[in-house]
Amino acid sequence: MNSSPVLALDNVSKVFGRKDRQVFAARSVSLALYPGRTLALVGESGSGKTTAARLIMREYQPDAGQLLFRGAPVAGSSLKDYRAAVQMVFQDPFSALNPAHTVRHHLERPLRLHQPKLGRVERQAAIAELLGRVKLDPVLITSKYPHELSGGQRQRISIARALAVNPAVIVADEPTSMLDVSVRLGILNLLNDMKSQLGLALLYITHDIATARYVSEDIMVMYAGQIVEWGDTESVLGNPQHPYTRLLLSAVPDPDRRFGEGRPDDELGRIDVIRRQTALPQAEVRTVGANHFIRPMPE
Amino acid sequence: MSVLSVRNLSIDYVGAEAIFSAVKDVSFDIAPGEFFGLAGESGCGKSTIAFAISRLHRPPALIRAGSQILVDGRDVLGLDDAQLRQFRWREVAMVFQSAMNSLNPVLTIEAQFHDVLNTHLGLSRAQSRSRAAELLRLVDISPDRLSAYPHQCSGGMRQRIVIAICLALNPKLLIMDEPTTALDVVVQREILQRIDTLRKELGFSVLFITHDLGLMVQVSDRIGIMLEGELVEVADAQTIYRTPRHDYTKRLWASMPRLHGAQIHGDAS
Amino acid sequence: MQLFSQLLQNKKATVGVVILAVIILVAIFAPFLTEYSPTQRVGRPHQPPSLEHWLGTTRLGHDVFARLIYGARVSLAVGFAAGLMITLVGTVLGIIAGYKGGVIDEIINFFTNLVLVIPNLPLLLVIAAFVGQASPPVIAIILGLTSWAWGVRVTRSETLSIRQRDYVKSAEMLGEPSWRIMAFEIFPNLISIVGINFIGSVIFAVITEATLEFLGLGDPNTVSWGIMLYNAQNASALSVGAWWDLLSPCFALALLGLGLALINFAIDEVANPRLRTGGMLGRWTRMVRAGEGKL
Repeated sequence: MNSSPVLALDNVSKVFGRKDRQVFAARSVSLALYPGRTLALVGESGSGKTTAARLIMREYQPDAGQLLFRGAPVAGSSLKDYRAAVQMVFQDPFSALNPAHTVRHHLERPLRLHQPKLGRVERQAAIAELLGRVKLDPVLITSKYPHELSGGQRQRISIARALAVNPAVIVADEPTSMLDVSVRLGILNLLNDMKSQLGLALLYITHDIATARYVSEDIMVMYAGQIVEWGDTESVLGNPQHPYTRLLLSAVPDPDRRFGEGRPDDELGRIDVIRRQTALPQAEVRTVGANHFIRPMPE
Repeated sequence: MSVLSVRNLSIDYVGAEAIFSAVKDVSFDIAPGEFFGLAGESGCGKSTIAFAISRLHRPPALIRAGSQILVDGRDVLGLDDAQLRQFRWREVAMVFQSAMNSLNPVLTIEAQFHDVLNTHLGLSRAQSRSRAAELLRLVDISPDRLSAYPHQCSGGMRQRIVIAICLALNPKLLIMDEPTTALDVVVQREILQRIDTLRKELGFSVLFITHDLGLMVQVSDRIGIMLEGELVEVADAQTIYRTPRHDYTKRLWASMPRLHGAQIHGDAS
Repeated sequence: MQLFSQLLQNKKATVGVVILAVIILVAIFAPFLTEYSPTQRVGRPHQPPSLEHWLGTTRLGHDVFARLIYGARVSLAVGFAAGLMITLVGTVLGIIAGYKGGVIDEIINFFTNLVLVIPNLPLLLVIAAFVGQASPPVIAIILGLTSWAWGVRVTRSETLSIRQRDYVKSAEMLGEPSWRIMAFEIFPNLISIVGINFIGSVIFAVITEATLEFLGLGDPNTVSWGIMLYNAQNASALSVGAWWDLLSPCFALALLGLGLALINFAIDEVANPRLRTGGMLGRWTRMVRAGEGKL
């Protein structure tokens, strides 16, 4: 594993509300993204994963801690260079593309903005190449409008648009949750291919833990703005230590275990207690494996 | 006798230029107390079938002549408006995907129960209140929620309230159309476990519609797989899981990453 | 774009466009359609419609038909000019307020509310009276400067909802400058609202101009439908039985309003498919009647 992350959140907190009624959308969150690796961020709605994404995209400013890009703090630095390096793929394929514009427009704009020296012919060639990378036929697709395309095709164009600026990091926010089941795998495989071919650092945000296992090497579990367990994906998912992680995993639909066949120490019997305890500020970091850490529940 | 008997159901959407066949000659039965799952991707026609059972369709939907839907032996497609009003809610109740938004935002929970109980059973306010408290207890909600408004309850809680209202008249069949898709996995698990327990206690059947095949196998007795309007495979849950026959079913399983055990082989991107 | 091709197929749009086209053509080719000048005395006063004077004559012996078709030029010009001004100001301010938010939004909102609160017609009356005899260009300018507020509101709220969409966020993340986002990402999605706004403003301008002139605030030497109403009223046309004098401009105004309103309904229907009714269900109804199926 590379020792220097290309992007990192260092002990970042984000608070909303006033003194007496504050909500920690993110509490002391630290994460790091490495080239050629995927970090999955899993959690339920309201867990803070979207806040983390917005902090990384610099939509929000941290209230504590800092955002580091290539080791240097980002606060106050040029937004333009950052934008060329960090791109996002959105959840909803239907609102990710402007219904008034063709595919060509969507791919032309990022090229025009970040590679202004390209001439018309070179730009068209670049567009064709981008579409080829996401396995779409330029001849068929370039002049189409979004409403003429399927959900899967639109997501591919979203990915092509993100790749057009030659980014170092891609933040994928639930990129497949609104797609049909049979289409999802294609998109996930595409992201994987792009990651390994281009050495991208990928942040994969999801509530679907099975897909997180499929695409990521590292994983982080979030609840109420805190990261409660993190590390190597197989280690965390195969041997979960934090009660919340265990709760989450036992709730994931498992066709091998019918209802009524729960084990006696099933977390599903203690849902309220676990949630309440995990919402409090968790204790200090504890190492439980080679690349496996937790913040235990307070006593 | 089956609680639900669907025979040769065909439903079209009639456009100005073309006719779209949403459901093509579908037949299946649901036994009393059975949990039947209908799985498929978007556009396969599963929701269309659900709507047809309660006669909820609007033009340009058209249920083709020759189709038959029997609930407890009664011909649903032949009911007139007055009979339909009796039929809905008492025999068949339906929970929608956005059911959390189908609670009236300006009425308290108690008022929503009273609305149904008074209309169908003629209960007074006091009687509604106690019956509502009973029903809420069925879905693990404390009766002091009765005076709350929908926006004061979480999404999962609202969905459970809707389910409680649906069970108010002891229907024989509960249709659930993607009831937990918009909810988190833990809440989903709680709700479905509740439904499973309730149907074993109260004896109603469930028609459960979703695209999540893993979830379906976990909770259903039998499963039907739909593809582009056709019912391509019907079998009990374990058979669908371990020895699926139809190509499409196999393909569906091959596209679902596994959380436990061996991972699937993802092929081309 | 798909919007236009759908519009062309819509019956309401077709009828509306035909009406509008006829009025415009008649106005343009007025000199060829009548040998009379609209300002010269060419006949005896208050003559009923005849072969010589298709719509009769006014109290002063002017040919009503000639005045009508020359007057169309003024009404159309004022209507479209003012309509354009109103829509332009309203759209630009609305998009800026909706997209930029913050202080800019507050300032624009403040002025919008100011203008909205002041009752339109009384304000126009005061200004027109102050100016004296307001000629049509003056009326157009007054309308353009005072009636944009509602358009700002509508455009702003539409912009606010579009602003949340992911494709706008994506444009921002790519580093698109604000003006480009407003002009090329947001505005193309507002076209049907802007179109409806424009047509509505034209109707408003035409009617209001006629109102001001009818009330005597216009320049009596102009040839326009409003002045025709003013003259007819002063000549007590109805009381003396010269119904053609008063009803001709009335009918012309109503016809123009109808044509524009139909176009507006059509734009609305095309932009919002849920409003489509009736005709599209013909095939369905036939099949149900034939017993091929039911609901």
